[in-house]
Amino acid sequence: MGFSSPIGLLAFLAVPAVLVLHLFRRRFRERSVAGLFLFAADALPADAGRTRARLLRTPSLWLELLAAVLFGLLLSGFHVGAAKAGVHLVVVLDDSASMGAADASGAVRDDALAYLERRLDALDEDARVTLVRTGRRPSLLAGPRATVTQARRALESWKPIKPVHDPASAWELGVDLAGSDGELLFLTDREDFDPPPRYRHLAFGRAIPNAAVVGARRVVRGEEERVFADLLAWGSGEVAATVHLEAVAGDAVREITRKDVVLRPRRALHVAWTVPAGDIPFRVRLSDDGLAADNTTTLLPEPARVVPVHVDVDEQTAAQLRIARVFAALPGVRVVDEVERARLRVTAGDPGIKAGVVTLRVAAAGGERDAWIGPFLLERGRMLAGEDGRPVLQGLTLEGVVWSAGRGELPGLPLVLASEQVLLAEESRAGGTQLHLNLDPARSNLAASPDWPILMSNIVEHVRGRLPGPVAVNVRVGEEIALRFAGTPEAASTHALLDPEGERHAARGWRYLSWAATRPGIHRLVQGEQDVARFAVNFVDAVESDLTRSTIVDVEPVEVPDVVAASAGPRGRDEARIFALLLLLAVVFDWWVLGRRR
Amino acid sequence: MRPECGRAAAAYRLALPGHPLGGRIGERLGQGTGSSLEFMDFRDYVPGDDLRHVDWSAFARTDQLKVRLFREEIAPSLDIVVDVSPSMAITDVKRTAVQDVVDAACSWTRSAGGIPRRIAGGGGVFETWEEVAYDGSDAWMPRIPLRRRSMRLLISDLLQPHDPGPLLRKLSAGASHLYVVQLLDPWEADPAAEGARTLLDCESDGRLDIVLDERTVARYRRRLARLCEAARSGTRSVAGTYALVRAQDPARMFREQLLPQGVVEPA
Repeated sequence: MGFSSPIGLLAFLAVPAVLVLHLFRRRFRERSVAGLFLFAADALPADAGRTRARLLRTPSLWLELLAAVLFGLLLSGFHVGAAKAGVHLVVVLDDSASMGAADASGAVRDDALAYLERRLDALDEDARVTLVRTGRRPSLLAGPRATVTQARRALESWKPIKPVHDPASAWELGVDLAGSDGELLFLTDREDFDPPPRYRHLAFGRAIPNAAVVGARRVVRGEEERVFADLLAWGSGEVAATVHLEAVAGDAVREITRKDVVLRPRRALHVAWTVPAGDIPFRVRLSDDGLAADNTTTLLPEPARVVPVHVDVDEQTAAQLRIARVFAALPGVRVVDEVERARLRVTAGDPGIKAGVVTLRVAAAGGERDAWIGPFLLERGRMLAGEDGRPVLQGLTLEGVVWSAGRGELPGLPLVLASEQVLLAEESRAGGTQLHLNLDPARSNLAASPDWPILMSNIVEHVRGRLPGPVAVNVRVGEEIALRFAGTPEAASTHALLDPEGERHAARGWRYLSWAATRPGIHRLVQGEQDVARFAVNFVDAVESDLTRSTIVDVEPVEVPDVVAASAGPRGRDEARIFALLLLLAVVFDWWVLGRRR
Repeated sequence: MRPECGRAAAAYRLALPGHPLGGRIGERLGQGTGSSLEFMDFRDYVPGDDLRHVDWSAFARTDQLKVRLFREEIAPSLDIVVDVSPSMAITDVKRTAVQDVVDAACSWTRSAGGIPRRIAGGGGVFETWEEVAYDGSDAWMPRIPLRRRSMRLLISDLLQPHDPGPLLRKLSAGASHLYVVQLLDPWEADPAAEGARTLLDCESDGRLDIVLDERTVARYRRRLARLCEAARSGTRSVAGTYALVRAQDPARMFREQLLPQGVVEPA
């Protein structure tokens, strides 16, 4: 027993529809009478209408409900007996960008689609098709068990663009969806895959020479800006190409400069231009070649993310800590007088933890002092676990540092220890952080050591990374488009991301709004209809740009499933005929019943 | 009884049939022998007979003691059977009219020396209207036995699809006379063309969507006329008196409807 067309189950919505129609029967002003039978011959024929009334269990109601149920069964292809299942073709499509490669003979994707079209043509109308796209998280392009028509329609929208990934999870999903008798197909452009034995492995790739932009960035230096691009080529010989630097303003593109380059296989070429600093997006574009996706990289200007700093220590301490020099040397830092505007506070007191603010409290804990000589024990637990470790400790060695610290205890998580004495601790609560620096500046040389500006820079960058706004405006396909948000959850929910094709993606989360970057191009973050930020998503993946491994193969499956359906007759047709006949009878009988009431 | 009903009823009395009636001793000639002045028959004298009724002339002629028998004088009793189904209280006008007719009939019976009984259709005797809830069924026959040789008055709208003849015959069995007053609300007797309406049956869950236009009303009137004619025929078949009454104020109701249709006569 089953449904050959589960989407037809939507037709069962006709059942509540019939009930609603009978509940909301036509209703006139009411009049109570004694001799209702004297009016019966003049009653109106229909009892349908708009005002909710008591549900009358009339023969018409039962007949219409029966007709609705039969209609649902008919459209959903209800059939008895599982043995008569039709052909189920499960196709795993390699969704990596290299499938978009093309040469004079055509595109790899088109060849794969042409093969698949021929395969679909050979299926009968009862066949079912499931299309699975590979990816870090595989997804369904059609199905499960879609009709051939639905599969064809879905294939029209297939545009492989993902960076390199392992297709194994998609293979596993395909096997699960195919069940015991489904036919499995893996369409790709490379031979060096090893799908499970039930798969037929078809590759349509061609070893095409290709050049790609594998890295690009823009750096502001005063009134000027430097644009860097890393170019790489693959092939058997040198590749001659032209690299363009273009300014992009909406749909208008203006070339700023161009450069003819000769790229040697697998040898990176670095190109740089100097342009006036500004807010204009730049685009680095290579001349057309085997893979179009990796020829273009758009760079948006990184927004200024100035960290407002408030210093609240006495002049002697400030001089000992060299506060003014450190903050003057660090880029994107502004010392402010108003403590309310500060995101980083340097203080000797204990102002407490405030949401959105990092406080560096410089004070020896307790009255007694001990002098310690570095190196010290740094909190590296996360680094050992394979993570980046504490951001504020990155690059610190503290060798030879004389550190005079109080013997008192510090709250929070110890970051730097000398024996059992905590020298630096981090206390985080309610969105705020306080760093406790157990230091007597007058008796220490920490501020004179090379580690001091590193530590302060780490703290500033830590604060900068928590400022509201885009986390990064230039991201790669497969990465994350993210925005730190400082408003209310209601305000966060009004944000949406418009991708280059105009599709709208609603915001998820509150303080950290994020979307998957799946399509290259300029994405607009809007609140309502107002622009909030822009993001450039670029395809940059040297592995996928290497088309030299692409080839044509056809590996037959090792295990051929016992596809009973291939010889089975059209399933569900007997049931369909019965349902259609009963449906007709119900409708005719209902019409007769209503006619009698007239 | 409402004062205006009492004033209106005082001008009339129940129109009694020409044939003899049954009842307790009173002013009306009964079916049996009694002590009125109207001679009825002779019979042989038996000890104990009133010697004043011995026909001495006949004794002189025939030497046989014969006693004169005179028609008894009775006061007719009236059993009033009231349809207490919800339709009889469908409007205040109709409910008031029912009470007026019943109260007036009681008054007329008492004035004639008789004893009226108010009986709920499908139920028993009731004394006051507060006892009547108008939630009875359409089974008119009372659960208590009706008085033998009493006059009987049925008050109902008779708005039922079946033939009232069998019921009327049952009701008239053992009665000296049957009055049938078919009492209708003014809208029931003459509905207006009100346009689209949902009609709800006051005694069941029946409902009909209908457009009350002139044509529909005309057809309703024809059907109602046939229904009333069936009730009239049924009443006539048991030699009863039938009256179709439209509910209104008691004075006009008695003068313009009950009087012309022979239910009452001037006092």
